[in-house]
Amino acid sequence: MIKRLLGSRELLLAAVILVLAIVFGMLAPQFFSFAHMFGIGRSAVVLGLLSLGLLLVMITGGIDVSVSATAVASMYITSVALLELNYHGPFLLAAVLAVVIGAVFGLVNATLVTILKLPSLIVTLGTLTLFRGGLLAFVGSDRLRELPAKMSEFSTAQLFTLETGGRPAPFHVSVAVLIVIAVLLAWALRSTTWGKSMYAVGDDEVAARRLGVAVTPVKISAFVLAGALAGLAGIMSGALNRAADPFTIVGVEMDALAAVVLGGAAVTGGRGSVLGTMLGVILITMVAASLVLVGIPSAWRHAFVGIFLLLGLGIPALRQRRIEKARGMVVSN
Amino acid sequence: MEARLGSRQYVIALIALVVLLFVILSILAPSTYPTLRNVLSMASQMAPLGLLALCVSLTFLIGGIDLSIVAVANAGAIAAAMTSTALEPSLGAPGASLVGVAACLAVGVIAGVINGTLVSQLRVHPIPITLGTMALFTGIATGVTGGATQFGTGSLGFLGSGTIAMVPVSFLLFVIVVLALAIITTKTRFGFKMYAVGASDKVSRFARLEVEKVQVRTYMLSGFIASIAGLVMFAGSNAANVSFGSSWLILAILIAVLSGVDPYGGKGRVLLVLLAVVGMQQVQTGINMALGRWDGASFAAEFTFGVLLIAVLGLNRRLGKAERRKLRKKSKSEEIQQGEPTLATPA
Repeated sequence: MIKRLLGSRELLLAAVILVLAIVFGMLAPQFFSFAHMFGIGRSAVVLGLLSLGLLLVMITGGIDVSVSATAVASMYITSVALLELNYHGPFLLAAVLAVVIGAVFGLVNATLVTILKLPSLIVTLGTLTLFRGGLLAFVGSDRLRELPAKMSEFSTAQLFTLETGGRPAPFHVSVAVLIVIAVLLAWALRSTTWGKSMYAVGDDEVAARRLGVAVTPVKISAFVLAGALAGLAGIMSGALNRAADPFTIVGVEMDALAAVVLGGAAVTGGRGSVLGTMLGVILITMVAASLVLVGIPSAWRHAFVGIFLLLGLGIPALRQRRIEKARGMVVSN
Repeated sequence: MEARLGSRQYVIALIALVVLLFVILSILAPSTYPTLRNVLSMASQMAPLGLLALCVSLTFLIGGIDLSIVAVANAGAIAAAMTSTALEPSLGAPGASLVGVAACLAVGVIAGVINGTLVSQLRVHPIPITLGTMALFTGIATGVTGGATQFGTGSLGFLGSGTIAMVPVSFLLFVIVVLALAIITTKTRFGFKMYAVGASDKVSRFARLEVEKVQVRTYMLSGFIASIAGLVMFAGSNAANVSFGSSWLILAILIAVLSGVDPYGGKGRVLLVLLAVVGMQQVQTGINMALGRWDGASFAAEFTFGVLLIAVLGLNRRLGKAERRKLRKKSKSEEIQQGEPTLATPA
């Protein structure tokens, strides 16, 4: 039953994406070029990684709005540290450093939420301003244009380049990284004890505890992984933009939340899938990247994200209520 | 009843905090801080934030949250700016301002009704809903203005900078709203229902309370007050922009938490927002005094607010736990005295 509902949710999303793509394609023929498609993929990387992290937290029944601040802080601290050390080594090490820093930020959230038992929204709103304010006040607020060479070079690291009609369509490595991580997470959530415990904790914490699930470590793992993924998102964003800007990735937590909710996750926990989330990410990135293409000013972007988020919440909720009403399960006036 | 009055110790602690902050800052800056001018200047800055904190407190009371308040305030201010500027040639300055005020408040009420309806009808958690409407309202306002700052006719200046017997008009307005809400929440049937829904919407439903109605009205009230905040912001600067007050949401939540309202609903006292705002304004002024000349001052302030929010929330939790334990002990000993069999009650 649950499987069928989830299946229909993802199918519905895929259908919406397809219909919108056809509409965009008819309005602007260049939409269906590999260049535009791969471009959408490239601009989905940061949002995708942040959304996957948020998904993990939401499956366990929490929320993490600090992922954007974690991303920018890990990216900027890593860049500053590497420049200070005059680092010339491979990009991989820089990425590992950012992931570790992100994980530490995640651990801060995890500690506050699990040990002090504070509501995760307010805690992460607090850490959102705390991380960002602390970064800008104590680390720096200058945009760094000169990054370590290997980090800047990453922005042109294409996995392959298609030549279609004389125009090159590069496929960036970071897109492959996102896909690999998504597949790994999907597998882990579906097939490992850890994954099943995540859903169990989000579904019913008390029941999970009685079944012998180590609730606190599971919750901590969700926040730490969300932080680590945010760190990776941050360093990718810095490398792709060839600059460490402490004022980037503002408000992306909203898009991430919209993507995750569209993908079928609920703030109350226990639901959500990697496939749904990735479809949500594709939908939002596609609309954001194509609005200008079809002649709508990009200022309307937020309105579209808001509408998507509300539709993503509203349609299944109304359907659920109708089912409950039909069964006479609703206590109402 | 305990919940509606708030614990006496907490009120005393809050008053102590306000006085202590005043004394400390006065010692640190004896020539500038304890002056009438500074006090009045602080009072003139409190209204917008205080009003937004009231929105958070009200929605906290019923176990919800309204994250769209700053977006509503900005959208209302933009509506006021655009209508009053557009109508000034035909209606004259006073008439146009009146229409502007009405437009602003209407935006607030409509936004609130949208929030309330979505929350009550969809029965989804208000966090994603009000985040969604926040994006929607911000998006519409950005789309309509193209992100540009809208200027007004300047005829609402008295609300921003006017005084009555030296007291800033905006502060008086804030106090009136606080008192009105204190009466609504503690003395009316609607207020009683708010606490009931906040304590448990399930039990309230079984008790045949119109939970949906209470939710819609509370969010409507929140939107309405947010638009008043927008009006005060607009009147003060004669300008409105979608990006104004970006750090105010967290400050409003911080003040609401500091006032002792339980984010999980059913507990707290709206009147204490007044004390919490005074406390926060002093913290803000203190930070400005200490770091005003440093480039990173505003960022350090944000950092401090984040730390404070978590610290206050944690401390409240601790206090609440200790109090609950005491209450449970008391009720247990009473039961034993009465000779009743004691039932194990889950925490």
